[in-house]
Amino acid sequence: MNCKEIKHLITDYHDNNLDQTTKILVEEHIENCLTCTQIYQEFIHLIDIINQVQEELPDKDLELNFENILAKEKLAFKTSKSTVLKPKSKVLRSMLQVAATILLMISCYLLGNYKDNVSKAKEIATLKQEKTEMQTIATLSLMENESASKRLQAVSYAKAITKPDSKILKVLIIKMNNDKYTNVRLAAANALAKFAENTKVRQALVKALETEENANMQIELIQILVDIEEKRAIPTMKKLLQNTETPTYVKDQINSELKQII
Amino acid sequence: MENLTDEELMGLIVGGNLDMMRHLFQRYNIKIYNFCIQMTKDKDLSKDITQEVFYKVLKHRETYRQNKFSSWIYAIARNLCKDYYKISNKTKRLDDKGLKYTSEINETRSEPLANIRQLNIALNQLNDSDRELIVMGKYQGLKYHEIAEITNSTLGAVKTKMHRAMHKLKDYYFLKTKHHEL
Repeated sequence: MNCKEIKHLITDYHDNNLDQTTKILVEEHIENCLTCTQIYQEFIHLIDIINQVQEELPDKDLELNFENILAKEKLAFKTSKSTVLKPKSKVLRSMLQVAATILLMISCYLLGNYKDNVSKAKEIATLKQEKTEMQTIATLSLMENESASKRLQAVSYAKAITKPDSKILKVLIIKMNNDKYTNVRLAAANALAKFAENTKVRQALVKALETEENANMQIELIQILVDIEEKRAIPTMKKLLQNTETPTYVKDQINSELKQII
Repeated sequence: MENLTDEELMGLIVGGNLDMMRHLFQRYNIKIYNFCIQMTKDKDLSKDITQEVFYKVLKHRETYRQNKFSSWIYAIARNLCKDYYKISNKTKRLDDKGLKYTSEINETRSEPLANIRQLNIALNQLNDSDRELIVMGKYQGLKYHEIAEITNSTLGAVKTKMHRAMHKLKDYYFLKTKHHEL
């Protein structure tokens, strides 16, 4: 073995990495070669110095920072773990979304329907109101007509109005009291009978019985007053019974009706 | 847990027991820190790199394959140090004034420490790959096959390179010494 070969093996020799035969060969060479002995001595010294190099110790915050990193990573791991479970909740979520959509659709439909109804009802109410107003106007104008039959028609119109305003009632009361024609007066009285819940109407009916001279009208009024159970009409009826001008059939009517009312 | 090998601990970590990372930290943090110091000559930077190494081990635990854990963690540290070389100024690193801790040691005049200072100067005269080999093989005590794994090289190539690097180091060291003695 020459010095060049020894040079290549010298570190392995030092590290005891050589097989027994090569080790003996290197050992023999070193013992007999001054240059190689020196090189070997230098290596021993160098490695001895390297082994003297003491490890540096990192300061404490390296470990603290590591603990922080670890804590963060553990947290991230937990979160990712829970995202693995998400598919289940995803299905649930989409189901909820579908349910919400359906609910929304239904509520929209119902809302639309309701609004439609409301607007329709409003429309109908407006139309009804308009109809009533027109009826009122027509009735009022017809009431003043020359023709008795037109006035009768007006009275029947007035009767058809479900909620007549005070104007109509006033006109009807006037017609009941003052119209030249008994038929019109009778019709007016009949129409008023329908609105008897109004106190003014009741008073007017009672008063009409006091003033009315026509026997047919009297009988009609008596009938109406008894039907609406107007007790304030009793004195007037009793007066009619005592009045000699009152026809007997009117008195008979009063007698039979009075029993019901008292 | 103390009896488990690095690889067994790593298996547990990959399985989700992240707390096992503490044991690996205890086993390796000083080694990696010192490796980085030898490679960068900067304590603060070495601390940062060491931290980054453990962060990467945790973060990329899934990519760990069945090879030796020490090789893996050194490979990570080595790559991070290399990234540092790329951005750092080489001349500055080789400048004696840049060697923070060698200058600290310089203050004391005892012989062994003077020798260590001399060693450091010699070491810094080597190129990066030679210095890396010596730091791994002689300072960190890694086996040739481990170094081969870390550097992605073969056992034979590592052996040859190591011999050459050691001779260079010796020459630098003793030349310097002779120079001082004159």
